[in-house]
Amino acid sequence: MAQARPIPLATCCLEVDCVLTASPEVCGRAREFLAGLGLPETELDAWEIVLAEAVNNGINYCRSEARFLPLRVELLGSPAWVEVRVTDHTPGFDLSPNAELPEADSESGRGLFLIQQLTDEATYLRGSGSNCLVLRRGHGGTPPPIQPPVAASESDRTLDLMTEELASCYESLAAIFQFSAGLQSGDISGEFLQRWTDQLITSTESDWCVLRVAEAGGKELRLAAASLPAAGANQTTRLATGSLVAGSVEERAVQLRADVWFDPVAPLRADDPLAALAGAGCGFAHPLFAKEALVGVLTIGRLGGALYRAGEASVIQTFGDFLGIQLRSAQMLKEQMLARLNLRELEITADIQRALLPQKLPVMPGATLAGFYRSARMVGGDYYDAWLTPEGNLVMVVADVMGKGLPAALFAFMFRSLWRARGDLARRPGELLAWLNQNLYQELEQAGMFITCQTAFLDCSSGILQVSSAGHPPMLLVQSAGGLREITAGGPPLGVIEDALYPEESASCLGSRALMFTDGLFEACNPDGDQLGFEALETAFAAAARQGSTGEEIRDTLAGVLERFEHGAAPADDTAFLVLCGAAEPAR
Amino acid sequence: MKIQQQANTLVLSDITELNAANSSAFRDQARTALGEQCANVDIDLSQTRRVDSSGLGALISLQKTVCARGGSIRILRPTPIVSQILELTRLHRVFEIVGN
Repeated sequence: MAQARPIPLATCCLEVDCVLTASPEVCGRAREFLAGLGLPETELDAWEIVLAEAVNNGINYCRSEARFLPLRVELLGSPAWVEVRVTDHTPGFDLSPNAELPEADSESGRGLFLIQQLTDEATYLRGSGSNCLVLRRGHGGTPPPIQPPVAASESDRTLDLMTEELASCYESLAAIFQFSAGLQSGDISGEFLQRWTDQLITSTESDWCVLRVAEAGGKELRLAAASLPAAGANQTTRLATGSLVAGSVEERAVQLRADVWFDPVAPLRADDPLAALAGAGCGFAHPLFAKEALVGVLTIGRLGGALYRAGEASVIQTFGDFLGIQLRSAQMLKEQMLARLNLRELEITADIQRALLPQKLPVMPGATLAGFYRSARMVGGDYYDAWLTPEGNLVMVVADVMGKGLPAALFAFMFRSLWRARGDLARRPGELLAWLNQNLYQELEQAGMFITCQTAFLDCSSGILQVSSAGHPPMLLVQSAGGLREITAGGPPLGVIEDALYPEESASCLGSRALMFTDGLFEACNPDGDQLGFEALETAFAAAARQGSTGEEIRDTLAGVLERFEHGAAPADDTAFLVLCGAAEPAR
Repeated sequence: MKIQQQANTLVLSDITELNAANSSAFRDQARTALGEQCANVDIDLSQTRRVDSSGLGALISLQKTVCARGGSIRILRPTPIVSQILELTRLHRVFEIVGN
């Protein structure tokens, strides 16, 4: 029996500029070719529609940097069947085996449906730089399998390539695990990243690689590692650290959130910092994201013209993405450690703060004393203290160290130690403040801080208060006759003028109520942001002083006023105050 | 494309292609020509060799504009290939087709 002679296949290759106006022409030329095969008009109409949709998709969604590359249309067929291949430069898409029609009022989304309805087979092959839509339609004959038979040598070559890619995948995976072990030990230094890029270059037979990591919440990309061949053999050139130039391949990859490729046909822009170093080679920039957050960008390339195959690109992408996740994890670990350190510092500071406040206030015959302290945050710089001299006289202080946190607490601690150390000066508050200023001036000045305070001495045998202040709010005194007096005598805050003088003022405390406080008391805010104010504080204290018979009662009344005014608003500043209810008569 | 006004109907004819390259211009010209007087639109597709998915999108867009003004849109005498496309995409149920 005679063997059937194979029907010769006709082929045609067309290229079209990446503009929609060029689409009808290429479709018309394709139609002419197919007409030459003897296809009936209905078949030609169907193919022309299919081609228009395929070509328009390739043009509409072409990557911006590949717009100057032509779209290729290859036709292959016989009167019995036709295969069309459209090669595009889009980012690619997943072709559903059964594209569905959109809603009836949708103005788009019918192209793929038409393609699938008018062809027998539609396959989309995604590549690294380009993709290929393969379309087939029979016209009464049976098309051969989708992959035309190839020569044995061609099969061998393909098999070799696949084996090579598979082997490189395994090598790369091994490298990834090796580096993973390094990362788990917390080693994510610049040296590690340099070794990482070197390893990537070796694994993927690349010539250079640049890795930048995101900083400042993803607003900046800092050079983390780079390796580029220099003039001498086996030397590397480190890129200067700096921000990205607008429009660089790295920046575009980050903005597009997709790989940006370059090759001799579509080279890097002349103003791209990598252009001079990468030469006319090929490669791509791959942005690294972890849970939507930008972690960095990896750019890799070859100096020669050997394009990355899909498998190689996939390895680089996987490698990069893995590093991105590790970098993000390390970053989060660092943030957690910093948060723990901060918390620990706050705990230490809070301990110091608690130690500053007196466990118990002095008890005196006929007089009562009560204190109030509240921190705006975990730790503040306000403080009060009181102690009795061996003669039974009362020494009091209320202070406010500028700032918060550990430095403020440490200065408060120093202040307290010095203030308590000079019992001999307690009777003369002005002299005590001058001495404190001289001894704290240097440290406060160096730290750029200051302390305001008011200190008072109550001679219980006479009921006379001696008061001096360092840049602090005045003492309020509601006297037995009912009048309200402000005691303001004093000088500048401690730490401002080295040889400052602190005048004193005296007043009788018999039957009077005194209030020493920090500015947090009258600067307390309500939810609308209004401050309580000094006058309102005076009014509230005068009322509380007239109604209350002990320091505790007056303190509690004032605390209630504060709470009602703030009405749940978070305190903006620390608050400390001392209330003294003077004895009606001098102590014997 | 030829644009005529017959009473309160705008008639669009001499359309040889309705594709990705000219669909936006077709839609914009038709909208501009609608003006205030025309409520309805007749689109004569008897000379139309080809309509692609972008062309279909333009027809639907125009239909939305016309319907929003209380008017209606008709497709007149579509060529066999255009009819095939309309049927394939089920849009023959959406548009009133006259003289098929």
